Amino acid sequence: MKRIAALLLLFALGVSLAACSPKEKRVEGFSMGSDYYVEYFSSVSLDSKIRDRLSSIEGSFSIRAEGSFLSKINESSKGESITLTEEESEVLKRCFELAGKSGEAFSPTLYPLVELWGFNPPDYEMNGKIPPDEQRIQACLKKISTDGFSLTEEGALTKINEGAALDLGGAIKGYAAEQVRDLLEEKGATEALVYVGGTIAAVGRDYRIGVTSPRGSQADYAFSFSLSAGEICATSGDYERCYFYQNKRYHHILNGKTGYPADSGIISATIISEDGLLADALATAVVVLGEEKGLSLVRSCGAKAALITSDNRVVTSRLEIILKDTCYEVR
Amino acid sequence: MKSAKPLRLFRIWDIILLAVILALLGAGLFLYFASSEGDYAEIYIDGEKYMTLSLKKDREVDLDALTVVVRNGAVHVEDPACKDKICEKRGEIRKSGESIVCAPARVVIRITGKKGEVEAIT
Repeated sequence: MKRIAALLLLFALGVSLAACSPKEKRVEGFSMGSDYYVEYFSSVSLDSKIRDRLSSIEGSFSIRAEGSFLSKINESSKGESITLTEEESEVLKRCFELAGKSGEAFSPTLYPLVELWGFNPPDYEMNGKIPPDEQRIQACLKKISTDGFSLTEEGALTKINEGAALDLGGAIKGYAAEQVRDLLEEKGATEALVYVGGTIAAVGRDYRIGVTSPRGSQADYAFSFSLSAGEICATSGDYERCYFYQNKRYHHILNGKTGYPADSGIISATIISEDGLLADALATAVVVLGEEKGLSLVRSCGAKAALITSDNRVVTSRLEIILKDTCYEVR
Repeated sequence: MKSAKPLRLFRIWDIILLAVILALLGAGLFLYFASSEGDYAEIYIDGEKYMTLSLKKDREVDLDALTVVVRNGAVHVEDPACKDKICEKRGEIRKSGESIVCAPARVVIRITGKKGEVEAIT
């Protein structure tokens, strides 16, 4: 009799524990021109808080959002000034710093070039595109530099160079993933995976993440790695938004020095850091800089990396990977 | 001399309790590993991921060229605008890795499960 009672008690305990344990939840949608989803364990729903945070980031930092500081400054004339919020000013300042640190391999001022090449959203139709002529590229390069803007400590942003324009698309998804991670941690989510347009944040536990094979393959992904709790990974590659013209690939990661798509020998760069904005910006910078300079920048920023080269090698820095796609070799 | 009572390691109820625990454990492990059903359907248009749908929630997504229907944990295509209707004939997909491709509309629907080797793709 005692045994039966013990079994019943055990069952009741199990049921009551299950009732108050956090449940898995999922929220998904579109933000900043990409899809996002968040899978999280929490005893309360955080869906609306996640959505609100993402739409507030989109409202501030999307180049297409009407009334965003980016659309205001891009439409303004030389000498005009606008005042940024503390968050906007802080994010832009970090982008300018990273542009300086990467020798403008990552730059928030590439927008005129992106537009010239036709890689600007919402125009994602790549078929039939033709590269712009050399003359127009050279003329456009004059507009590309962080010197085209000034930003004061008080958050006053002024356009100095006529025709200069800002676009934080290369870093904002990382920032968004970081902000959602912070929100989930603050609200007590026990574990979560945050996905914002390919940029991923892990909360509460380690997650196994696969990296897309840049040239397509039978394998689901090129290799996988463990993303530790609190970390964010971002991947940039020449396969994402690209077109072919006369059998040559033209992709959206543009080199602000040459005016042409990056041709550094790195076709995919995955960067891991607890700083999402840094991870996202570095992923772009490394594709522009190439293996040697790129890895040296990654190390100087304290980040981890796994790069895929055009000769099918996977090069890592401070990261253990498991190769899946046999097209590649780890060297 | 008093004869020693034989030492009984297990009584009948101990064995029953152990059997119940083992059975529950076994059933749990079986359910965890044997199920290869996917958790999500990812829709790609022109190679770009358009959206991710949970298979746990029934819904319909109208893509102009076709309608993606999630019902009872499976996905199928209805009302394709193309002539051959290969995607509609494909029927339901529900297992991780299965896909429906509509070439004329350049739409791919792929089932992904988080019980696979990786939990997300960057």
